[in-house]
Amino acid sequence: MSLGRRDSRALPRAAAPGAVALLMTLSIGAPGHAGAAPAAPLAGTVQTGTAAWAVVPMGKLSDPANTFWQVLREGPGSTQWSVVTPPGVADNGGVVLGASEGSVAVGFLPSGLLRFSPLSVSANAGTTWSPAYLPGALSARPGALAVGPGHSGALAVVGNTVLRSPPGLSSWTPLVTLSTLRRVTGSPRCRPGALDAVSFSSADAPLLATSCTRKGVVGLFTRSSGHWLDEGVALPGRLRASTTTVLALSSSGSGSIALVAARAAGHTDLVALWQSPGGWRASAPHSLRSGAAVRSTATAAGGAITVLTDSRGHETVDQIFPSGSWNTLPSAPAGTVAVASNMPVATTDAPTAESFVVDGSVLRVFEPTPAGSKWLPVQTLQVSLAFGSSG
Amino acid sequence: MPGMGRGLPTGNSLITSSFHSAVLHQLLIVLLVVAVCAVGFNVVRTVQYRRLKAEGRQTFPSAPSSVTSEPLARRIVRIGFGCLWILDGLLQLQSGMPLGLPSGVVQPTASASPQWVQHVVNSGVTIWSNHPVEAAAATVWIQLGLGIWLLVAPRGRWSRLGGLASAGWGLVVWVFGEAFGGILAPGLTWMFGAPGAVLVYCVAGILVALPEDAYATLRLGRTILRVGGLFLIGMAVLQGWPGRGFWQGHGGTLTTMVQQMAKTSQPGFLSSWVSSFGTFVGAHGWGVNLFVVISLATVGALMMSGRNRLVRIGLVGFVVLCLADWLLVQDLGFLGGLGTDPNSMLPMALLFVSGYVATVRLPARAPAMADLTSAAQAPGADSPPESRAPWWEHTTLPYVLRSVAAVAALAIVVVGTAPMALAAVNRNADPILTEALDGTPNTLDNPAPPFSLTDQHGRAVSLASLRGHVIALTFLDPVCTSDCPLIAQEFRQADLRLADQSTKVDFVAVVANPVYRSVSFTNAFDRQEGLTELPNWYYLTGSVAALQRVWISYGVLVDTVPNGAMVAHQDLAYVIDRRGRERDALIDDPGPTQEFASSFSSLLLSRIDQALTT
Repeated sequence: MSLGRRDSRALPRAAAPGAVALLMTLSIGAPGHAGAAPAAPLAGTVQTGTAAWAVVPMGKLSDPANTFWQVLREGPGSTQWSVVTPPGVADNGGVVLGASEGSVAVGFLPSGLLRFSPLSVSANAGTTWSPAYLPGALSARPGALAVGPGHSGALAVVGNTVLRSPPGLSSWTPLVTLSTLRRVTGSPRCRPGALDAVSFSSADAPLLATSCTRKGVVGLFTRSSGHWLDEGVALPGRLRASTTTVLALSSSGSGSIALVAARAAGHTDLVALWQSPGGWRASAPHSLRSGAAVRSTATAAGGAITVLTDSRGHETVDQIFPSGSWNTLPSAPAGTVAVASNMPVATTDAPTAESFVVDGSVLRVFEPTPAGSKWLPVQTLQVSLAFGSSG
Repeated sequence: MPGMGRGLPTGNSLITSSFHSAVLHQLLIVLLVVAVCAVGFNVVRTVQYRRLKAEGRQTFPSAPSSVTSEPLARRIVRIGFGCLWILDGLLQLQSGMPLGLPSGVVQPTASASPQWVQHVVNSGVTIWSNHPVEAAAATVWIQLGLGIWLLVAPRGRWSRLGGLASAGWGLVVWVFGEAFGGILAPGLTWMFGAPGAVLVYCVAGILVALPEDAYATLRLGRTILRVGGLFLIGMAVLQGWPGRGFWQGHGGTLTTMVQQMAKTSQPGFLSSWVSSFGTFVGAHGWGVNLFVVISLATVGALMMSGRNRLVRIGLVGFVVLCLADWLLVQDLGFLGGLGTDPNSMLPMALLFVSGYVATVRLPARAPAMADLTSAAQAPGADSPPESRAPWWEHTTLPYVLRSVAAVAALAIVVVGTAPMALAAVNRNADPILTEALDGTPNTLDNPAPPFSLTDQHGRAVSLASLRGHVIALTFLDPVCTSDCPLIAQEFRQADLRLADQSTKVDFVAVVANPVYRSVSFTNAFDRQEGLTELPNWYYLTGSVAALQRVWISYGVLVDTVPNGAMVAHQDLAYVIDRRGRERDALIDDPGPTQEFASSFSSLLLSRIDQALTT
């Protein structure tokens, strides 16, 4: 028997300001239109100009109560990852990470009986963390939290609302709701279904990604002069009949990049989008095997995107650069849970990938050989995990 | 510590000893009842003797030799099921019954049934789980009482009332204890006890409750046999229905069931027999099922034939089949695991035998009533005859004895029922569950360590500022995912149950997290747990140094665990009286939710009540 008494509770209830509460309550009640959207994996990496950050699940991955999500950092010029997971809260529900060159924020998805998302912020590359409060539960998507450079503050997706906070994440106010975005006109018009990801554009303006109820369109919205602009990107060819979901969205000084899953008739294609002064440019589609699922995504500051997919236990790593086409790397080592786009040591080097292999509390990092024929272990980390601590 | 909760093993010593203690206390009451009945018997006989003597009579009235005996079919049912109830009552004395019955017997039985059945069963399970000691003790006495009642009251109104009570209790057990005998679950089969042993008890109870006239013709016996025969044919059809897995050997429904049965803890010889039969069924599943289908259908047809010779053959076959199933499939029912009854085969065989006897042994007709002084002459003669003669002139010794014994048996049933009924009214779980889980509270008499912190509204709150109120104090992590929300709910419930007294009590939690300790988080936790509506709820926080001072002074260890684990802290609560003295220290580790729910609030309330009176 279960208590049952918790099931009847409204999930996120807001604190001050009251407007946040009202908007969130309304937004929870408003159903999205993207029920069939492919799940965006939380595991992955993001690279800023100064560091790379990874989110990796560890422990007993088949048991959520004993899965502990770790935040890892690789410093500039370093080839070693270190665990910098913020302390003080159970992260069995998963973590969402937003990073910029100046700071990083980690949001903890609710798990167990917790119904809101504590945040942790670091301004010194994860050496120390400060707690921050978010009125509600973060969306369980890797792009649900973004931290902007300088004084941009942060963005968070809570239900169907995007909240904004000043630097330091001391307070949150509603920035926009999904219903507001649905009224934004554009060409091609997206007609948003759900909030997928948030980021800051290279001009430090909020950049939002949504799924679209209109087929063949990627939902991208920016804010300019107090107004929202629909920058929706129309996908070409056979992708015009597909529904889209933005799996990853990140920005750096060189522009924003997005990874889109386009799905039609049970078939999924991946498309990379790069923002340039002239607008958004789409890569050629990369077809996934039938039944394949995206397990991890990684974006690099230079625009490289790496994707880990799993098709009936067969894990594949694919990579694309702004100037290139999709390239399939050697089959990922068994037990790979996340991938990274390796930061180039020299500007002339092309980014390569890394794979994170988890075996309980042991994390192994692999890199492809220079010839690209196989993966070699480059680092082993023993991470102390408190099994059984979350009930 | 959060996340380190533990379950209550069925052999928990506190619950077991409380159960045995409750049964012993009730036994004393039962003995008292018996003594009172004995005195009552003596008084009646003395009064009768004096009245008779005053009328010049020297002897008590006696039953005439012409009195008819109880119909044999009825006697078989009454004595057979009386003995079965007594056996069932004795089985309820097993130490593991208070905690083991819901999880080990009822819930597994109901798990395959539809959702609504589980919902109904759960309502009964909740009452048992909340009051395991009272429920288990009550069941002992109710079943012993029913058994004794059926045995000591052979005739008349008392006897028929006993039958009705038996049927009523049987129905309760069939619904809540056997989940409607599993008749709505897949895999229904006669071999495993369908339609539930206790439903047969209910039928037997109804047969005992019938007027004795019903046994005066062949009709009742034939009805029993025909309905029984139809039931067996239906069971044969179900057994043979394709797609239900009974025709399959290895991995089939029957093999799986038998093999599971063999795995339950039971005497070695039984386990070996059941296991061997499981192997045999695995190898010859199709053949075994064919035999069972044909046997059930044949016996059913013979029972329905209405011809005594055929019925007799069918009955012998049925009894043999029942005994074989009872031994090889049902492992005698009560020797394996936490057995509560000998399962369905014995009761079913008894019922069919009585049905057969009712068709071949009609009771002799009663002679005309002639002598009013021989009181017990008519069928059902435990009731005095309708007569204008005073009672002392016709009341016989057996009548008085049986009536007094029946009253005593009824009293035994009441001894069990009354505490259970009282417990069922209380929707909150007994404090003993928390004590079994976390230990008995430590009684203290120390000055409570002072504290001065900030509440969820940003106001300064100290121990001194709360002086004059009883304080229930605990330590909660506002971003805890497991124990703390449950503990908070117990505090909230205790506060709400205090009603008017709540103005004299403050419920205080101190943040147990050195990282997430700001008022934003305490407020978020309060909203999450519905604590904002409580005017006497204080969730206190402060600087890490201030919090650490409080943790240390109250003996609470708080440890920040790295790499994605929640902060570990001890689950402790204190009751502080109005003078600022610690009265009780309680462990409030919720453990499994089911055991803790509302039990801790009951324990906390009892301690708060004590502190309020000092």
